[in-house]
Amino acid sequence: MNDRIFEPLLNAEKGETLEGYVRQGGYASLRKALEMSPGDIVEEVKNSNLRGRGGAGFPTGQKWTFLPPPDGKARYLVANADEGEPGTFKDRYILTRVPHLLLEGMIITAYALGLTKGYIFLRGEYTQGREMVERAIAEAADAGFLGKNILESAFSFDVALHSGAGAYICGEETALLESLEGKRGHPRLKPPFPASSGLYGRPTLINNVETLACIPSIVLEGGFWFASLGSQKNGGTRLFALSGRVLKPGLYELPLGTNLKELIFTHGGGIPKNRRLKGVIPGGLSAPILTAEECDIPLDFDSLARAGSMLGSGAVMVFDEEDSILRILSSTVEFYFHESCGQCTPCRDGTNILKKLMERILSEAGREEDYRALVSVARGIRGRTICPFGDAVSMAVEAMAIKYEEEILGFLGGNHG
Amino acid sequence: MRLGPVLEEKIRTLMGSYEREESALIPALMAVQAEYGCVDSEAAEEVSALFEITPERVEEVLSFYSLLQRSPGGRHRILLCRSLVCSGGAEKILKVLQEEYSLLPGGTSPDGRFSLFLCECLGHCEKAPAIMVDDRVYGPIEEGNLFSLLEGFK
Repeated sequence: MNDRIFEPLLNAEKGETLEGYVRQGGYASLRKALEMSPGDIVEEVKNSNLRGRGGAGFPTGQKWTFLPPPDGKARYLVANADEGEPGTFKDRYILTRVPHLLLEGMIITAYALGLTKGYIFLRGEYTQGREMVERAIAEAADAGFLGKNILESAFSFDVALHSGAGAYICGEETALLESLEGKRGHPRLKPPFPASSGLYGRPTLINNVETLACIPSIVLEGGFWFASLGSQKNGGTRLFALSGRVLKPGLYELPLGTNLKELIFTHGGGIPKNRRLKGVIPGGLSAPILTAEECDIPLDFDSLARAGSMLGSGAVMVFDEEDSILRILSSTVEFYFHESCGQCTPCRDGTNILKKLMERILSEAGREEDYRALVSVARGIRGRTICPFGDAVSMAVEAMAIKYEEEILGFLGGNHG
Repeated sequence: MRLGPVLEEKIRTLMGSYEREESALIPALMAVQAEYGCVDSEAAEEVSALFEITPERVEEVLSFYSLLQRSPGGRHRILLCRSLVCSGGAEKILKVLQEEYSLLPGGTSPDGRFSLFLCECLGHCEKAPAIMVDDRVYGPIEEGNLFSLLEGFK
């Protein structure tokens, strides 16, 4: 049995069309699911140890059980395709090369949980993904995989594509819902959680694209099979988006628990010109940086959490000795300053102060006090905002500043460049 | 700019495609922009009238989302990714765009061909540095292929 879920599909000829997808065995899982009881499907997902691929790594089966039982009224499924975490491009491959895999995952999920309508919230910049997904929805509807009485069962479900207009924060699930309701993307205060009060105040499940795309293989091959592909409590394979200073940047599907060094040196071909590894951001910009010494680590949710970082979105960004920590830090601060939604004062003002401190650190006027202030302001944001964005700024900036203190202070000492 | 009957019809269709009409507000503004290159205050007001919401509600949304523009730019829009993986290469691209096309971030080239905006991660980090011209992303970009790419946009 194949131990890769995505690889054959992503590389299949015309895999983006219904015909190509069905040739690879596509929609067989949906046929099987419709003959299972919804409860059995939820059980398989729990057994799979699938954890959310968007960033938080929350057990998917458990998240599913937070939804109240169906009451005959509208209940929503939203596929979070607002991929914007710097370094992350995995969902783009699914959306453009195998959009039917996402649709099949959504249809099965909706059947398992009694959801009545699905939305794919796609970031506005993914225009190619939009074309592919729109075509896939039309093809699936024509073939009877979407719409009324799917495959002549009693189950009906529709999916619509909704394009965003440029805002990183809309990847946060309640900001996404606000945006989908036609408002600014300001995260909501929780509770209530979307499972009980989401889109239009109705129960709503929001799952990442890659998470939903895992569902067909879990149903077809079984939850325990999926769990066996990964490591303990970390079921399945993961799409790692590898970028930065490696010879072969790209998308790699590997079992959860694969060593970070194996990803960089074996699959990624190592660092150009044999330069020295400086550090790695292992899970998208919000994941605290690992120094070269910390990189001998299994890529799973728990190992990275123990190391004070996170697996996050699976985006692995590699830096070598030619990368200045000042540029890394400054780009990071700029990003959070630009993308803070402005709702909470510690985050809005905090990112503004971080930006100003960073500008001074980079100038001739920079002093050690500015560095100390940067660390202190970064820490001060943590735990004081409505959504996890504030914690992300705080932890990402603090880790860069603390772990590379010597280099930053040396720069301040006049060794510019 | 006035919306005109075709665009109005398109927006009404969008409104009808959601369970609540206001969900179509952002797609409607994107549709206006696809037609005119921006959403000016007259268009924004007409949109608010169609949705039966205040112009301030539309303004609130327009000012929040980075892809929505309120004034017309050049014939082609360049988004230059400045996020972490692209940031080093982006500085070089920016320099070339300034020197060869007189383009500054937020500005338009004197011949009206291009507008340039810095943006955050375009999700093409394996092709860093990446830029988006109109509705396609290109990378990796270096001085040589930047010229040949941009020459294709008149």
